[in-house]
Amino acid sequence: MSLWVDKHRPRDLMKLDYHKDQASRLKNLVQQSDFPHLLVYGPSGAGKKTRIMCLLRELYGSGVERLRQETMNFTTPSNKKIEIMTVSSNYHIEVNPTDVGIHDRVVIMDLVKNVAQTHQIDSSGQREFKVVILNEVDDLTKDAQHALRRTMEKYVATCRLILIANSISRVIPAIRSRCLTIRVPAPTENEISSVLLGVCKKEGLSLPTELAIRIAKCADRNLRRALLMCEACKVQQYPFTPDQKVPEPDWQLYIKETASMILSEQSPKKLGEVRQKLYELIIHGVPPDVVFSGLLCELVKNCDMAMKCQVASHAATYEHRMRLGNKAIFHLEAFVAKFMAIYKKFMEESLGDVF
Amino acid sequence: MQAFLKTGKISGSDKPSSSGVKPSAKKKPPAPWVEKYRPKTIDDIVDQGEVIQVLRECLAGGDLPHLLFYGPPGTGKTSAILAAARQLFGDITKDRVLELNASDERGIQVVRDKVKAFAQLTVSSTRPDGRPCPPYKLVILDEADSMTTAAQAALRRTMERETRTTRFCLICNYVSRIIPPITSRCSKFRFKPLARENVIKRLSEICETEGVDIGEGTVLHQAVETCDGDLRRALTALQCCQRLLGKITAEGLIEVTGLVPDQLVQDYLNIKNYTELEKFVYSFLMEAYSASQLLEQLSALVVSSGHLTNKQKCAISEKLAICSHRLLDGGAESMQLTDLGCTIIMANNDP
Amino acid sequence: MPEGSPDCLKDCAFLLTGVLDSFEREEITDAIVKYGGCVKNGISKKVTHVLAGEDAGPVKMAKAQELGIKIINEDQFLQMIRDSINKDVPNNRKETKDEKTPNGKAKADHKATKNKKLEKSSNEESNGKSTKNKMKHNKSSDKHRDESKSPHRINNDSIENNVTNKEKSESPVKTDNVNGAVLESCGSIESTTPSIMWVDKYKPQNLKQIIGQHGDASNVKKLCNWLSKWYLNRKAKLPKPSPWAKNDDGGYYKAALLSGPPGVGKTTTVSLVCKELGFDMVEFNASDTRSKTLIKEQITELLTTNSLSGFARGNIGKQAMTKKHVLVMDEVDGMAGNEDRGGLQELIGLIKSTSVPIICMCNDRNSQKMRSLVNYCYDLRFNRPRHDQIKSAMMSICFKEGVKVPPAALSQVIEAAERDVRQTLHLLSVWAARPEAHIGHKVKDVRLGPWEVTRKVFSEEEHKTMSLHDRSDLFFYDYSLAPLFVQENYLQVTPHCPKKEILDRVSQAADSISLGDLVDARIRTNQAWSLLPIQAMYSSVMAGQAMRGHVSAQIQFPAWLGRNSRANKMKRLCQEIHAHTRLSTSGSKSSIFLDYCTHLRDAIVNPLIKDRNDGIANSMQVLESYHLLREDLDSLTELSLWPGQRNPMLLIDSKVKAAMTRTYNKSGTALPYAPGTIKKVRTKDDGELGDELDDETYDVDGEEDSDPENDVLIKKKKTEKSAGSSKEKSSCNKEKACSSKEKGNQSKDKPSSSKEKKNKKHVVKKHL
Repeated sequence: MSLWVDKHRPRDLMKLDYHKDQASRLKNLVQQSDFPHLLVYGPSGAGKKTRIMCLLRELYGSGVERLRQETMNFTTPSNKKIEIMTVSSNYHIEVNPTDVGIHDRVVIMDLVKNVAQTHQIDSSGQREFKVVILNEVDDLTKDAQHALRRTMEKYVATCRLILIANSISRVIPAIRSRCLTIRVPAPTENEISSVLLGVCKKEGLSLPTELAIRIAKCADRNLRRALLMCEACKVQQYPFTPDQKVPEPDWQLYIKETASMILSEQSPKKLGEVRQKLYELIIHGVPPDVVFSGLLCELVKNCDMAMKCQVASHAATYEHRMRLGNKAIFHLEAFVAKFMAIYKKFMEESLGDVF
Repeated sequence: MQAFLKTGKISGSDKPSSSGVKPSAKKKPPAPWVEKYRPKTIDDIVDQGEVIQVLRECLAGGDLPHLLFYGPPGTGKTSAILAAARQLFGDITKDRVLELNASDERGIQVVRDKVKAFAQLTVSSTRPDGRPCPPYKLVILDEADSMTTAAQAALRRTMERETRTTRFCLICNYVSRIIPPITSRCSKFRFKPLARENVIKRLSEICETEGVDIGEGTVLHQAVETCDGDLRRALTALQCCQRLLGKITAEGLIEVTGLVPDQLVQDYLNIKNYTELEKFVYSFLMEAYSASQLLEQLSALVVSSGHLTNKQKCAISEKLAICSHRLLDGGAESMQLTDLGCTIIMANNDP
Repeated sequence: MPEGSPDCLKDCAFLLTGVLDSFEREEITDAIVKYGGCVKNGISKKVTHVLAGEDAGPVKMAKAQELGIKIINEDQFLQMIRDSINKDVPNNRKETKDEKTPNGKAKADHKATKNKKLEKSSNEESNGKSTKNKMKHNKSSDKHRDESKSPHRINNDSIENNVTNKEKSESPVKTDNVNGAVLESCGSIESTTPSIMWVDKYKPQNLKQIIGQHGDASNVKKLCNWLSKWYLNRKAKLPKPSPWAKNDDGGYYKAALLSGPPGVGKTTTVSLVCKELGFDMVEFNASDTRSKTLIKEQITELLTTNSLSGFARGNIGKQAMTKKHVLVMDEVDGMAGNEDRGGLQELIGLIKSTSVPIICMCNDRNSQKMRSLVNYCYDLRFNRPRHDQIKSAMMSICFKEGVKVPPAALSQVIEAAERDVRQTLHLLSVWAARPEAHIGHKVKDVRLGPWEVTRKVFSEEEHKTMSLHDRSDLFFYDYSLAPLFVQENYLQVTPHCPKKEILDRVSQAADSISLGDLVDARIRTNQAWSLLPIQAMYSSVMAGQAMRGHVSAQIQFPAWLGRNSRANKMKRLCQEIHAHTRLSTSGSKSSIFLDYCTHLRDAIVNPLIKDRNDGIANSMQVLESYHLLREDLDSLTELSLWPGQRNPMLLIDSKVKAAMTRTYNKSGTALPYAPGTIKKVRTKDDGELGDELDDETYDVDGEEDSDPENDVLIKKKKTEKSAGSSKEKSSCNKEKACSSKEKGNQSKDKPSSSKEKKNKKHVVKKHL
């Protein structure tokens, strides 16, 4: 019994719920004689992976869904053994090169080489190439990305790459220009709510439209989150009522809590407490940049325009530093400290004006 | 044959062979247009009158100096030297030309070993079949501005010593990144950006050969505009669009090139308050547009826009530079867009 | 090669032997010929000088001594040439026979050859053999001197004595009257320069001088006893001595294990004992690779060979041959890692079969690694010498060095060094080098914990007496921990400033700490260690300056370390779950963190809470369809639990939980792929049969599923595993029965059988 989000995943290009014309274009693409490297990008929960699996099915038929997991071993130039988990079918192989951190370059080079060198023996197979899916390409090191560019050219005869990224800002132009880029925008709230309604119908439940819209609003245009939340709602209370509480993800609540702590009092002691909260967020795997934007969003709420600008610019500065640095907490804390200093002054001044 | 592996490879083409020696016996997927329509002789090169003139005379004399081609991307630098090489060497091009581009290892070690070893070989002045040919070899260093200074320095003595047997041709976008000792050893050629009408002419020729429906000329105009006169990029975009949509349309072009629609850029520049900004940034990212692309387009728009005062332009451009640097370092897009947006708002409020 | 007056070596005949350290033989020959001398090949009465280098031939040396020929070393030879210029009179044969001319020695020895000697002597320090060698030379030359009775000679001697006395004022030098001293310079013959480390200079010369090892029960005595009786014990006793031989002197053991903290003199003790008893030391320390094969090949070979070094030292006849060796394995606890793999085992093997005594040394006898070794060794534990023992020895050294140390300060130094003699000596010598330094201050700085350092970073009072440089030095007490300490504690500081500014100050400090982290990242990624001072500024000095005031609370140990490791653990758990669920989910790792884990947990746990035992089936289904293991449920709970929330696992009745675990362990038969589920899974996703056990590469063979090889493989695995316990076998049998039953039910035969196989493997795995 899977969760709805996995249970009701569309498996055919034509059955996708939104971006339908894109789907038909993809179908066209498959029917053409040659198939380019693809770079699929879009925010989390927009349906990139779903589309790719549909595409593969279109390419190879249902055999592509016989998945298996394997562990592959690589040896880095420094003689370190690394392992990486792959998911593969007879036609494709999927990896997360970022799992191995800074050694991602080795994985890319060797893996693609391996795949490319094994030709399809089955002559009746429709395609003479295999597909390699690389996840989280935007988080690859620059080294790995450059290696990728060389690899893409070299083994183009026997394999195609499908790259998945959240944003192409961090993908080097050389790769972008070698791929057919496919943008997958996040579904709009309306699209999400219609998907929710559809899923509930399949499950034999009746979902009030208002609730569907409210869930969609809460889900940040992330379909995965919306479906999970919808299911959680069902567990919480069924039959649905239009005004029932939609459970927000815990980490979002936690960020909000942290922000209100910062706003309630500005002192070194409070900062110390905030630090513990930030630690907790980081431990729970909330990406620090999400923490940053969450905090920023909450903190600027009762500032005036000038101060908003100031805060935003500081947030951007520290976020950038965090990327370059090692210890996210230092920068988060520095941002909070800065904010406290600014905010306190701001409050005192505005109070001073009153009296 | 590395030459034919580079640039805008979208399709799964095998290496197309230049002289057509290899018959395409196997069913081969169609080549990317950029390779298919690469100029065969230097006379096919679009625009670049003077450079071609000089090259032609050099070829007629059968001799070449060391060359340094520079200019914006997609103006035919690589095509020019490849065409020239083909004209010089004919079917022995393979033995006589060593091409290295940024995707090959080009550290100091390679320059010292591979390039030097290649340069030191002597070649005869006749072809295997007895016809005469120039008694030297050609080393093409594409994208030379991405070579390290050390590697460039290692090159200079080799260039000088092996003049008798080897000619070098360096290709780069920014001549300032080539160390002076190298530039002083080469005859420099600047490739100027292509004239729009010539690009369009070439594109429509190709489209005709490919049998692609382009409707009226406006689509091509747009292709050229979106690609900034870069012929290769325009061609790649056209092919992508053709593949994806089966026809070439304006929207399709924007889609495949990953451009941000102009309307969005305009909106961003006209944001009035913070709430609007937040909303804009959110939806912008949800639509999965690229922030760095936005900044690029914004920069062009800011500089050319009429309604901003110089002071405003300064303020925005400065922040724009900072933000795009941070983005390059991997900063979160939402943060940087918000930051820049704030600056824009402040600038808008303070003309 | 120095310049000499022409023909200064006239009438001299040289015999060259051994390896000269600074010149090739040819060069020396040329020089001799140039200055009018001649070079002989064999020893005879015609030879006037024997020029001996390192490892001189013992036969030649012995003959030379017999014939009363002067033996000189390289320096002395050079000196001869140099002297010839100082003295305008050409040397006659008799004078040259007398080693050196006094004037020249006094001057040139100090100026010209100082450096060379320095190098040499430091070489010799490390190399006991050559030192002894030198001593031998000197003895022989002394003998020679005594023999010569020319008045000139006496004169010479007295002057030389003067010279040495003068030198003695700088540092104690070999002469007979220093014998009484507790510690004595070992390389003293040549080491007249002050730049030798004190530690080496005052290395004990004989057993009595070792600090804290007097008396009969001392380790030194025991070791002496053991070693001297070693061969006796081996010979006297039967090849296999019965256990009662385990007496106090360790006669039974073939090896000794010396353990104790660093700097108490273990190595010194061993080398002195060996010297005293005439053993030849073969030493291996951490700088040598000591892997299994190496020990086996090299050492075994070494130990079965007779040492020729006796000859090299000029020992004559029998004495040279009867030299016994002892194998010294220093720093055995450092035998670890890949390089030294199997080294310890091999060492133990060696001990069992050895024909020579083996002495091992280590710091921590109780460590895990030593455990196997101690059983084979005579255990000698070294304790730290008592405070007063060190103190008296140090006082005498200080006296000799002419350094005045107040006793109180000395005690402090000794304590700071934790009664490590070597460390104490180092500290003292540093002090002696900068006598002008503020003594009290210096001593206090000797050892600062990170807590103290952190306090200093922020304390305004301390800042008053410290230069910028001193403050950045604070960072270097431990540059990896310092930034963490500063970051952890800067909020505890009350800055001395108007209240309004406090937050500004805090934010300044935070800012510079954040910059410090950037530098740190750069240092670590690019190995740019030269940036450390900059990091010191940002991470410590600037933060300290911004927050200068006083620390108002206890200084905490950085929480970052713990938090970081927890974060890493979470990340690992998440990666595991991600890997397990990969076949059925599509998200990336962070989507597991952010979205999935709460819901997944609820989906599993809620049925258990609500429907109690009836819910087990439901939760098991979720587990199955996501290919999760029982342990993953715990990780999920850990991942999704926020502070202040109640652990939903606690809501589950413990009985239900136990029942669920049981069900899970029973797995195969009871729940998996109950027909309904299988159907659902199949209609939903035909191929999602992959195995979550990553190490098993389960082959979904497309259409041809009943591949015999596949079967064989699985069966083999099964039998292998089931051989371990019969319980498994029964479960497998049950499995089979069940699978056959199921086969009947199923429309698609083959995929299901493959599924069954998978299950079986699964079961086996779980039982293990």
